[in-house]
Amino acid sequence: MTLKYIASILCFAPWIVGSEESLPVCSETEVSFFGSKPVVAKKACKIEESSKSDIEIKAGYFFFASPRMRDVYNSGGADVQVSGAWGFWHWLRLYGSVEYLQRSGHAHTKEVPIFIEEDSSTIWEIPISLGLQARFTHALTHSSKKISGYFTIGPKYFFAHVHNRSHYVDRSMNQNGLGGFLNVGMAVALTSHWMVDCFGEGSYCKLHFKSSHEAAYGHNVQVGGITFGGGFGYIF
Amino acid sequence: MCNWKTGMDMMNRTLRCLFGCFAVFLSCVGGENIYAEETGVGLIGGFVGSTPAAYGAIVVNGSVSSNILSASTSLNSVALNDLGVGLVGGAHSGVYSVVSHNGVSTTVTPITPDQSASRLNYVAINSSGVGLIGGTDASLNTYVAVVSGGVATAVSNLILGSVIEGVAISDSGMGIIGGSYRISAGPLAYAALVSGGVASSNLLALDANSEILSVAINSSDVGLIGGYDTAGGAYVAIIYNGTVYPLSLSLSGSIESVAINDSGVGLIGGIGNGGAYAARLVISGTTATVTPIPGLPTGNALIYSVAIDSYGAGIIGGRDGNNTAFAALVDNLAVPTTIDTSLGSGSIIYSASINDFGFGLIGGIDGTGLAYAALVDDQGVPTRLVQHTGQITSVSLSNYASVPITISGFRLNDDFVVVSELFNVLSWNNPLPQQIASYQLLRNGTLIALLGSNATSYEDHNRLCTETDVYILNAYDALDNLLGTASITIYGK
Repeated sequence: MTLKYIASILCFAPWIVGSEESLPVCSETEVSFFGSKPVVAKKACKIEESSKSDIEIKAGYFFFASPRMRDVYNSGGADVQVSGAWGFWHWLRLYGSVEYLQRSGHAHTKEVPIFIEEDSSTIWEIPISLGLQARFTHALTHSSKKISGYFTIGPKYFFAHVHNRSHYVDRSMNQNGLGGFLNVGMAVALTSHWMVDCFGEGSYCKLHFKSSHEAAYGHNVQVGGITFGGGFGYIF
Repeated sequence: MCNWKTGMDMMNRTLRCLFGCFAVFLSCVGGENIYAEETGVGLIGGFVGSTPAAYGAIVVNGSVSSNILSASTSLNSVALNDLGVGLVGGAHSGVYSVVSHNGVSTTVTPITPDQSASRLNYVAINSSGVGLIGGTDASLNTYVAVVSGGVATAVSNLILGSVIEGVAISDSGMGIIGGSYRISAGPLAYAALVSGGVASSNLLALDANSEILSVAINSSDVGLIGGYDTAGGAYVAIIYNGTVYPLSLSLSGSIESVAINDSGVGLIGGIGNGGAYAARLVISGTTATVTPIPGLPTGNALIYSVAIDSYGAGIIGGRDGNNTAFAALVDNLAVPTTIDTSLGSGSIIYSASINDFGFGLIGGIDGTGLAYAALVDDQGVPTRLVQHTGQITSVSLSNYASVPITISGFRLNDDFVVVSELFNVLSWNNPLPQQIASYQLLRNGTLIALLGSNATSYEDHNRLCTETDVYILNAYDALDNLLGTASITIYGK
């Protein structure tokens, strides 16, 4: 068989999950005949633009960027998110997510490490993200699957709640504020509607906690951090 | 029917026995008589040398300090309270001093104004360090003064010409004096309460040839006086709310010494019918149950001195019928345990004292021209302390612990990141595990914690970063006697 198959060539660029219609664009070869002799000419790799939308459920592991926060909140780290993206122009999408994360640990006593049950503390946060996402996609050779990469940036609103198990500081403290985030990831469309995703995200937000307890001191802390995780989404 | 007081007595005896056995065990293990438990700090006084010079010394756990006095006369009376503050009084040359012992060193400060021309026969001091001294002034007039902060203030309204034979002062500052004054028919017993620097009128209405030889008062201002009355009989009376309530002893002789503790249990001693006499009193209001102590020496014997501790156990000292020193511990059931001093003829115990640690202190002469003083453990075993030429006239054994409590502390930051608080961590040693029953912890003069005997640390939370905290830790025994104190300052930034 002289006909060559369509070969897939992977490109080193972000990919975006696209629609069925845009699937064979990057890795095609073009076959023509010069007399009876076929001539194969490869077409240049092309990144597809896509403006499709999706909704996704993500789970990940979160840790604080601040070393002081990591000292105290040194266990837990579950992070769940519901996110959605709306493609509104070529490769650009509007991204939004609501997230919940929690970590726990013990108060850090300087000079002498005294970790007792009463000094334990838990923090949970509900960050709400809004951003612009650039995404690019590429069809996999020998497969109907598509792989895509994305990059998201935008503001992030944080609501944080801290519960301290101590008689000597505020047992319950709330604070909220505005920060920002940056998110990169890679997704694979398993079918025309379902996809899996892996991502990494960094966030930053500084909050000032005020203490109402006598002789306890509230502090400015950076409640953002880094999340690694994966997700499962629906494309429509 | 169960008598709860008897039950308490039995419990106290049992505890004492256990402590005593422990002390003996440690003593045996050590192979020498080193006290493994706290004996309390004592003060002994008298004179030294054939040309008498004042002698005073601090006794700490069986060890005796060198002479803390330098006067060329004798010391007549010593008293030491549970803070380690004492008074000494004697005749001439400035032997009228406040003695302060801090567990390590001793400070002697002469009383002002100058008392060097006076003769102070008796001194007493209360738990606050307020003292009462009695004797004669430079003109040989009756002299009684309240001593506070090292300054003596003469008491007014005394009967001039009276001889003071005993003084005592309660923790509330109520004083009591006793003695006699001379009338043509002979001495007439004199007793008065001292309050606010003024003596009451004579509380007694005895006839001539009576005398008060000893007085005592407890923290409830219940007084006890003893001596002899007109009929030549031993006399003892309770002083309650300023009124005298004589007790019927039906005893010829005299009461030479009386003692009363804060629970209203008393001990009296003197000369009785044909020998030494001593009895334990359980005072209730204006009356008392008198239980004579059995088995005391007969003949020419007498009890010179008695003392009682907060638990109701006592000590008595004097001489037996053979003119040999006699001393005994007296338990809560008035049962005596003779102290074997191993002294010969001519020896006498002039003074005896006992503290709440179960230790006793006795002093006198050994019959060979040497002074005698001994620390007595709760089994009645004496350890001789001195044997210089001279005499021990007065002894006082306090509940002041000789081992200081050492306390350390530092400030930490309890950091929850979003919020933090500062706290001070205090820790201390317990030098008296058998005696300390509780602690009080004060911060900047305010009580912040009552702690049990096992406590050796404390965390004081929510401190301000700029605040300096001064902590005082007071250790108490089961009867709330102050055993020791320690302090530390933690500075703020």
